[in-house]
Formats: sequence, structure tokens, C-alpha cells
Amino acid sequence: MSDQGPASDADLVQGLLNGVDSAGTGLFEKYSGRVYYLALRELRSHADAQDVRSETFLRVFRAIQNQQLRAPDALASFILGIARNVIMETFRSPHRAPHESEMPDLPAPIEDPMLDEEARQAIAATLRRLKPREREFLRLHYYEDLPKEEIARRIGIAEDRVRLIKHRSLKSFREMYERLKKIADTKRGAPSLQV
Amino acid sequence: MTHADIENRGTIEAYVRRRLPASDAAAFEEHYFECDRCFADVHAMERFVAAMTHAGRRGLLDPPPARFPWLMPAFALVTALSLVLAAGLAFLTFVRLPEREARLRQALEQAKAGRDRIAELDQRSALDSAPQANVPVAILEASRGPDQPNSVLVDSQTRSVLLWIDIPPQPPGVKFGLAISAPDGRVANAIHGLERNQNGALAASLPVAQLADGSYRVRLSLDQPSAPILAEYRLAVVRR
Ligand SMILES: [Zn+2]
Repeated sequence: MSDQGPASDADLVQGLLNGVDSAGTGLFEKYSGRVYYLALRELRSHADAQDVRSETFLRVFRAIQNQQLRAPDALASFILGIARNVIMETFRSPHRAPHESEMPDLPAPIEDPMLDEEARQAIAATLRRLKPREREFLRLHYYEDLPKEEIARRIGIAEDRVRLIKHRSLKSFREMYERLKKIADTKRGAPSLQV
Repeated sequence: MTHADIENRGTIEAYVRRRLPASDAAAFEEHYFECDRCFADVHAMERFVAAMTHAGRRGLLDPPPARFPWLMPAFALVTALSLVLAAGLAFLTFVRLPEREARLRQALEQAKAGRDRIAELDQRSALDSAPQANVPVAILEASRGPDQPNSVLVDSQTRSVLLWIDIPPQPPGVKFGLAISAPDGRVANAIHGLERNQNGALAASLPVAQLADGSYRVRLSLDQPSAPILAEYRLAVVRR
């Protein structure tokens, strides 16, 4: 399976039914990122997202083995449905640790679980390349969350220009992030090679 | 759902920023569970929006302090024009700039006084209305998860609810702000200039007439531009 490129969903399902080990791994590799992302988006906690991912795939494997997946073409949608259920159950779980910060004596900003060190560096580098007026637009749009009419009134910026600033800064951020991530992964990978 | 639609309608950003109606968000989830390209785009956008918010909180998006860009070319000419420039600079530095700065400071103080006054009135009315039997009170506690939000029951007669947040003692003059946002992420209301009262809490009156049933996020921060969020609460508005 692996020497013929990525397997189709139908192959993965068939492989699981035939007890092929790599089918489970293939299915997990293909969809676990999406399940994790969706759970993190809803639950804002890495620990919860990990739990949701494990539980979702446990149920997916079990359901496939019990022939509960009627159409292998609908595998993505089937996994999404199970992930949504597990996320809802986790939401309602009385054991779930609250993620909101307690009221502290000293200000401590809530850290966004979607942010990592590379994202912080990438955004700083991206912003350094922009003109002050472009940064001002981004502040009003993403941070102050003002409607576009209000932003246009404040800084007199045309609609097509707005699209361009967003597009350029997102592109620069993505490129920078991917580069930094590669460097970080290499660094992290280096010591384990010596083991 | 075609890629042209997704691009033209700004679906990815709207999804990440929770601006899509629930049915559209669900349809887009179905799409990106199958589509590698859209999933990569969503993931990148999520990170980008989080990084922008982080940059906003850290002041990285703020305008730079006013400098004097017109001085830069002047430096190139400084040897030839030193005398003229010195005279010009002296005029600007000692006459024009202090004048402009003083005007700016005055305008800022006026604006601040107005805001403080409104905040004070708001807060007073919140406290005044507290003992009235028909004003529902929502005591917000940060430790409650989304599964058990702080809920408040309102009826057609209810015009406002009193939000009550216990906070530790603060140095005098420290003011807080609350941003109340709807489930779709839209900011529904913002309250400024709150101070810890004698009962050790922040009390704010929140008009509920325009708030639909649902779960809201209430974010507490210092009442300053780009201040970090100190705590986040969930408030479920339930109509009888
Ligand atoms: Zn797509």
C-alpha cells in the first residue's frame, strides 16, 4: 500500500477489515490532524484535543470493524461526525479541567493554544516588513475587530488594498512560519539522532 | 462548495474567526475533512489570526511613536545648510512642537474626562439598580467551564442584568473593561471604566434587550488599549 502512494479511503477501510496493520496507521495519519485541530478549536486545550483524538480513532476503528461504515467514500464525513460527538461529550464532561485563567493578582494573558514560539517569531518578522498604515489596518481588523466601514472611515483604505494587505501578510507569515518550523524541527531532531 | 466560492467569500477567515452561520461552518468542516488544501489553509489562518491577536495584545500593531521623518533628508544637507536648518529647527522645537503637544495633551485629557464620566455614571446606575428585585444578577466565576456557564434568566420586562465579578484588592485608580461577545465572536457590548467597589467586586449593568438567547463570552481586561485579557467568563442568557 505504502509503495503505491497515498492509499484511498476505500483501501484503508478494506485494509482495516482485513486486519492490515498499516491501514490503521494510514487512516490515523490522514485524518488525525483534522480531528486534533477541530478539537483544539472547540476546547482550547491541548490535553483535551489529545483525548478527543484518541477516543475518536478508537471509535472509528471499532465502527469500521463492526461494519458500521456503509460507504467507504463517506469516511471523512464519518470521522468528522464521530469527532463532533466526542468533542460534545468532552464539553459536558464534569472532569474537564477549566481552561479559563483564574482571576490573578497580576495580569496574566490567556495564551492561545494555537500559538507556538515559531508563530510568535513569524508574526513579528512579518509585521516588521509592513508600513505603519498597514499595521494599523491589521490592528483595527484583527485586534480591535472593527467593521470594514469603520476601518475605511478611520484610515481611508480602499477595499482592494485591504485584500492585498491581508493576502501579503498571511503569505509572508506562512512562509516565515514554515521556515522557522523546519529549523526548530531540525534542532529538536538532532539530539535524538545520537541516541 | 467550490474553491472559487471559498476564496471569494473569505470563507476560511470567516470560519476561523467564527463569523460563519453554524450551517455554513458545518458544511465547510465537511469540506476540509476531505480537502488537504483547505485544511492546510484553515490551519495556517488559525495560526495567523492567533498571532495577530497576540501581536495586538503585545502592542506590535500599534503605530510607532511620532518621529520626524522630514529630518532625514535634512541630515544629508546638513553640512551645506546647517545655519538655515538650525534656525528652522530652533523654531520648530521651541515654538511649534510644544504648542502642538500641548494641544494634543489637552484634547486627550478632555476625551478621557468624558469617558471617565460616562463610566462613572454607568457604574453608579449599575449599583443603584442592584437592590431592585427585578434586576437579575449574574455572578461571574472564571472557574466555570463552557458546560456549566454562569446563567441568567431574563423575561420580556428585563432591561438589564447586573454583572458581578469578585476581584482581589487593586491599587487605587485601576480601571477595568469588559467585552461581551456573542457565540459567533461578534462583540455585542463593551463596558469601560469599571473600578472595584466597596464589596470587593466589579459591578456593571449590561443591557439585555438586544441580546438574544445564547452563550456569551465575557472578557475582563484592564481598561487600556491593547490590554491583555485577565479572565474570561461564560454567560448564558436564558429567556423565560
Ligand atoms: Zn478545498
